[in-house]
Amino acid sequence: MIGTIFRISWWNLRRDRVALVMTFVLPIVFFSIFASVFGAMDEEALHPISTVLVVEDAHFLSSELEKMLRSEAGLDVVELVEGEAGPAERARRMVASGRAAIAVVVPEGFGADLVGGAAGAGEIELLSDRSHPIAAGLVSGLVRAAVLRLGVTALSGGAFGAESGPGEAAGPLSLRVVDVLGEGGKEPSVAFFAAGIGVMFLLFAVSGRSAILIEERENGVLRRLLAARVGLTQLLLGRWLFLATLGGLQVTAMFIWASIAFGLELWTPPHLAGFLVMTLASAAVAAAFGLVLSTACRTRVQLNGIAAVVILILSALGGNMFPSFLMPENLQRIGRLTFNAWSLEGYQKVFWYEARVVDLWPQVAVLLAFCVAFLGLARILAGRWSRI
Amino acid sequence: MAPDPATTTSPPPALEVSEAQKSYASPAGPVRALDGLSFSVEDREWLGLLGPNGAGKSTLMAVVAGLLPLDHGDVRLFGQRPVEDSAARWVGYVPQEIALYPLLTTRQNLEAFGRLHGVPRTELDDRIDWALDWTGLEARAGDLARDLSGGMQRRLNIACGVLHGPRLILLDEPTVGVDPQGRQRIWEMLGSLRAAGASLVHSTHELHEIESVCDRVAILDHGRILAAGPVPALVEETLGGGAVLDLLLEESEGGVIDRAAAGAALGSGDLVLSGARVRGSVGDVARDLPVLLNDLRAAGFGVASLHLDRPGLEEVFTHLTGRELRE
Repeated sequence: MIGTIFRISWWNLRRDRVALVMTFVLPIVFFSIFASVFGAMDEEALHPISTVLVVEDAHFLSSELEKMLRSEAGLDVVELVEGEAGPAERARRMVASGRAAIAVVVPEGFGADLVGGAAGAGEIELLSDRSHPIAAGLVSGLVRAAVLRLGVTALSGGAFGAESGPGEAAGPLSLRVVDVLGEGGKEPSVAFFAAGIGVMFLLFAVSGRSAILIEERENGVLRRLLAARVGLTQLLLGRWLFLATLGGLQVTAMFIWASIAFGLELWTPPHLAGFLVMTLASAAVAAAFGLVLSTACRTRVQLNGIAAVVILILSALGGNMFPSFLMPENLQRIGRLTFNAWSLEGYQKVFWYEARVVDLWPQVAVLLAFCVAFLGLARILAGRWSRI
Repeated sequence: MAPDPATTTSPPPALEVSEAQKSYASPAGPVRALDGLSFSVEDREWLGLLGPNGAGKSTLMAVVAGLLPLDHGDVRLFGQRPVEDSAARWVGYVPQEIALYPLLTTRQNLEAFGRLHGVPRTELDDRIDWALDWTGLEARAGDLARDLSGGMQRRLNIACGVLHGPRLILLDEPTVGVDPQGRQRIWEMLGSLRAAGASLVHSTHELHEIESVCDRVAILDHGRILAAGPVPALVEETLGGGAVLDLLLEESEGGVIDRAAAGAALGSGDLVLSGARVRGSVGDVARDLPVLLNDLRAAGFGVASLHLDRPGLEEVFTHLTGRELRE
């Protein structure tokens, strides 16, 4: 008897492809993503850190330091933008706007101080973005190592010609880390998790509610709707509008709670405007994605399984579970193909980088493109319903 | 004075289907669901549509409701080819499933489907009140559809399909799973619609009941109409002046019937042996019954009891569509 029950269970599982994927494939996929992210966090596996180099010192040692840092594999040196402000200020703005994770500012007199051993003078500044916690630690290590090599070479007198001579001592390195974004006590993790968790559950919510389309097919309501000349396009657009509204309200509730309980700055005009734009775009694309899932699946059970698999993978790749800068470069590239990564990036720009609404256009454009593509795909998939 | 043609000509049929062909692709190859089918439903007529499973009834309903296009052939509603919204306005479609929103109340379901069918807002409340009265669901207007009994859900299901006052109503097995009292109530509801001027096309497997309520019956199989007409005419046309024989064989000691011997005695006609019982139609009682009894006696069978009755729709149906199991 027990054997028969076992066999019945096995036959059922064998024919339930979604359950098979959930049982055997999903854990392996998740393990692979997490192992790729956290198991390979050595310097070489990490994505090079986007760094602005500002060398205000004309001394040859400072130039050598710049050369050494430019050749570091762990740094992706970003060129300083043109502008009227001084180089250090321009570098600060680049970090503050998210165009670079960190800036290294080598002050005037650094080289002479290094050679002359003037303690505390010529302090190198690291202008950092606290939402990228690895950057400051890693770059300061690289800078210290480079300065040390520079000092040793200077002491040996071999490499730099006449300006440095044997017997001159390398001074102690003074390095100061300046947080350019968190001055107001902002906590980057609140904005990150409000957006990350908000968008992930937005996907779960819309996929769950989109199951009504499957129920309408199963219980014959769809036939009745089609007989009443409700077109498939009208039907899908009506559902999409509802799901987008629901999703928008859900994310709004999440951010309001984050502002009340965790001090997220939601109620300033720029933040509120950016939040509304990103929420509208994110809810629109998530709702369209929900329609794709519900039109692709035949049964509610299938939808639940597939939605869980797809949403968890998208969330892991898109950076909803952990920051994407922790991922290896190839995973980050794959993550850029997910719409939730763009949504997350938009929210980060609003709440962390203080971006203006107009600066959100790349994220909004990509999200709307995804939305249109998903709606088109859902309409194509729903076409088979008209052959009932 | 010459009669006015407009007043003397009869109204066009509610529904005319001509040479309808519809095929589906299936893993086993194309399936011809409708195979050159033609029939019509007169204005204010109640037509019963019968056929074994897979005969093409639901496909035909879907075509007339505008859910499926024909591969070939023509459909006319009240003399006109349906264009755009005319089918939705003129036709009421009641699917076989309980096609309701379970988490909406009775009234909300009626309101939703009324709006979707284009009932004007000014008339909607009156129509809903009419539907609640018509279905006997006034007291349950505020209950969720999922909390209604099966029979109530069926009645609401029908009401949602006719709320917009269609002139032709298509009912796909509207009484499946309903108890006899509930079915009686549904027949009364449908009868009142016909009395109010609607034409009905009604597919079902409940032969005895449809015999008493429909004006005409059409029997469909393999995508074709095999026969159509009022039931008495169909019986006469199909079975002539025959009768339905119900005969009980005397069981031998041990209660075993020699099926091979009995089958040989019964011949290859419409008679079917089930246990000790023989049932089926006999074309000419005066000629065929003595021969049958003689053959049974010669084969060693005695007759415990014998009844003859007038044949009905079931015998016509079985005669036309055969006895082999479908689907």
